[in-house]
Amino acid sequence: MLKWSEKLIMLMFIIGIVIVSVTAGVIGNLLFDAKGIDVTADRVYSLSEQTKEFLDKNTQNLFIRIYAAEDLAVKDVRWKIYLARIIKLAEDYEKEGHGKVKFSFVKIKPFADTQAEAEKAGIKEFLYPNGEKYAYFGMVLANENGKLITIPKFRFDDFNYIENLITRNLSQLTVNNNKNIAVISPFFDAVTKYTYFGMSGEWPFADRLRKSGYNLIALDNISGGINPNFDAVIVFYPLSLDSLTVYALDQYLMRGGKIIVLLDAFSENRFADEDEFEYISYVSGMDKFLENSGIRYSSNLVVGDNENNRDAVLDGRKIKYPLRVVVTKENLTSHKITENIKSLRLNHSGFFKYESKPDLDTKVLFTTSENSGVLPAEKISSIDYNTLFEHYKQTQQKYPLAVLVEGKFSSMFDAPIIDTPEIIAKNLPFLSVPLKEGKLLVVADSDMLGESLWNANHAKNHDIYGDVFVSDNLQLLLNALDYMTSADYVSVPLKQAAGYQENWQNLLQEKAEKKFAEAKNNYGKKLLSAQRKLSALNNEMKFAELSSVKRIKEIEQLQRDIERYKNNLEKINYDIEKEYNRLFLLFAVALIAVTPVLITLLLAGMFGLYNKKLLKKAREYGNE
Amino acid sequence: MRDFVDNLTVFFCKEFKSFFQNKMIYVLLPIYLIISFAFTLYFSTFMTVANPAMQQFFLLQPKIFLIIVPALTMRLWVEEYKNNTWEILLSQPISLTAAVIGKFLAVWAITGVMLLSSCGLWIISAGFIGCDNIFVLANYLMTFLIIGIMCAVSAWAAALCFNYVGAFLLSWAFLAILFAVNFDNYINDVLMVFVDNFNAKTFSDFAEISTSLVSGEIKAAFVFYACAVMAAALWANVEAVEYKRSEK
Repeated sequence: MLKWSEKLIMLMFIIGIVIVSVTAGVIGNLLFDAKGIDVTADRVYSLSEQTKEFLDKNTQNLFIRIYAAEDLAVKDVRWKIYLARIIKLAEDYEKEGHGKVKFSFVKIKPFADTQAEAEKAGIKEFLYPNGEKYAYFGMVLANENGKLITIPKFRFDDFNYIENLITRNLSQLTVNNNKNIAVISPFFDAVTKYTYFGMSGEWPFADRLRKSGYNLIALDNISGGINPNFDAVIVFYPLSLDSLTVYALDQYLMRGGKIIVLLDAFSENRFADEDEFEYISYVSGMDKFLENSGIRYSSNLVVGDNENNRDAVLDGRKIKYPLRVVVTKENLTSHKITENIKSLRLNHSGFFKYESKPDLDTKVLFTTSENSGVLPAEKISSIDYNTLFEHYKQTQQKYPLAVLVEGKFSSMFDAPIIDTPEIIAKNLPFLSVPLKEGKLLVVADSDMLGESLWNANHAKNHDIYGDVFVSDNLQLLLNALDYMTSADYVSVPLKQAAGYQENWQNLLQEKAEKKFAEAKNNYGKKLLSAQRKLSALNNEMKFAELSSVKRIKEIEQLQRDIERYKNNLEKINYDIEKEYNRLFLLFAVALIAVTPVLITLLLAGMFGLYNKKLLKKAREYGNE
Repeated sequence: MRDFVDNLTVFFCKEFKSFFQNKMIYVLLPIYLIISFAFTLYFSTFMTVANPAMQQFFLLQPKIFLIIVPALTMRLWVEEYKNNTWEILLSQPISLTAAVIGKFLAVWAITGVMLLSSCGLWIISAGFIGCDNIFVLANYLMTFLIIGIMCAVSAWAAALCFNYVGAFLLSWAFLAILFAVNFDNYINDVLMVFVDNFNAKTFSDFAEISTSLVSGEIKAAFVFYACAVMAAALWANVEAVEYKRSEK
């Protein structure tokens, strides 16, 4: 047992260490505040070069104000870390802003003036994770003229995106007027609302473009032509564009217009008539317009990439699906539009062929990898993996997926079209020779703007910030608009985006799937063939007056076969799971059992050798 | 100064070698690796999430060393007390501080060897799924720093006991106190009253500091905290041995 004096001494020691640790923490904070070294590859904790460059050039007074509930940091350690991070970031802006950026931090107290002020600025309240009471945590950015941009609330998810958000918004505040973008979207209203399977809201990409400094105006009625004052025109999902729209686009381009066209080979082929095995082929209506600029679009073929792609679940199976193309950095051409882009995701994309035209500068912005192939577009709608790949042809060539053409375009028309409305003829007289240099960007897939291809948080938060980027699709469109409209907006590269990293589970799963891929395909094919035969026989039986015994036996046999194939497929799935478990166990055993033994033996060996050497030296001394 | 360094080196080498001579390292190293890898694979999200800096592995390390460090430090002084070698030691013209620091550095180095032996996971992760290597290296260094605090506190606690079990338990208890005690909320509350618009900060929450140090940003304040606590614990260690001598 310890004596009283010993206990007292021990207690004093404990109190001493507690006092020292607290004092060290306080002094450390006083001396160094938030100073630190950022060791992440993406420099997550530091301002990027783009932000610094913007702050260097900025001549306006800008204000950053953070609003946070007074007890936010003490309620949850994650909020505490997050708030400290945002404050440090804002302080960095102030430090790098050459006196032009002012940062302030406002604590919101319940029922105080600060609460009313925050709410007036658009800061939104939210519940603490324990559901206890309402909290506030947002940011207001303002310029010297009182123009405000509010980030209504922060989320944990957008930790690595905050700098992008702040810099982009600050750069918007330095621009006098937002750019006006006309949107031609004949298939659905992409600009004002989002209606899809009973859900409604704003299309996420349109919402993000608006938040990034672009006014979107839907051009539903083209009878007045396209006003050359539009900073750019986006043609989204063009299906059966009429000749007047094409004429208006042509004349807009002749007047120095900037056009971004997002085409879709799959959509041009996907609309089925009553018999689901027949397809009506839609056309974009833009073929001649594009050909006039030296671009030919393959709307009948869909491109696949065997090297860079994403998984898909078909027939209840997870497979490597080449038609879900991923464009990686190696397949991007260096250009302002592809600057900061790390990866793009496309689904069932078409591709382009191009030839250079006089007075026009043509540049391919990104392609598939060399390990690519093509598939007739109408085959995709069969949604049947086996049939799909029967038609897939490996061609081993790179397919251009986006082409930028710049320069003086020549008109595809020799004269105004016959039914030119009077208003166009009067205000925008026909030009056969260009007035100014124009820009045309064509992208082979319009699906790439679908939120699920760029935001892991999709469908969760359409009305607030909090995107978790899995690709740079949206950034590509923003870069393209910034480039086309010569806007002074600044975009910062995405940092540590979730979709760019592989994990161990996927890697082992992929290896396990690979082992059984052939057997799985075989049974898949057999099952499909049997199901088709059964369906045909059943149809036949419906119209037959008498059912023959032979037919009934055939049907029974097919049903038995189908059951057998299904069982076999289930068994294969079970085997894949077993294989995954085996691989995981192998990995775990190698790591948990083998590595420790090997390292211990290695250490023992090294120490043994050292001892031997020491002994030898001692003997030598002894002999001497 | 030179004598001090010479003394320190002698103590360091003697103590470092003793872990191999008494075969302790051959028991503790496999135990550490097994626990470390097993917990990383089975009780964290290491397998399922993108892991460029193996954070799930590093976040577990302070908790695992909570058991390992007391086992390493328990014999630092108890052995000297038991064999009465410390009487001889302290009667020699050597600095007690050098002895304390030498012994502490030896234990710290052994934990470094242990940590280094887990590099296999880094190598295969970098090979198969890709790693942010600088970030991982920084995480190794910061984890080593955090374990340094634990070694210093644990060595000090061990110096207060005359038997192995007591030293182990007391070391563990001191480390547990280090992990559990968090006065940040009180300090923040006080500062909020006196400093206008003060935002809550992390001062001495060991668990949060150890998490923060492996998050990709090495904060100078936390490194200062680590060094200061280590220095204080070593000073307390010297005082504890002195106290024990006076008691005898």
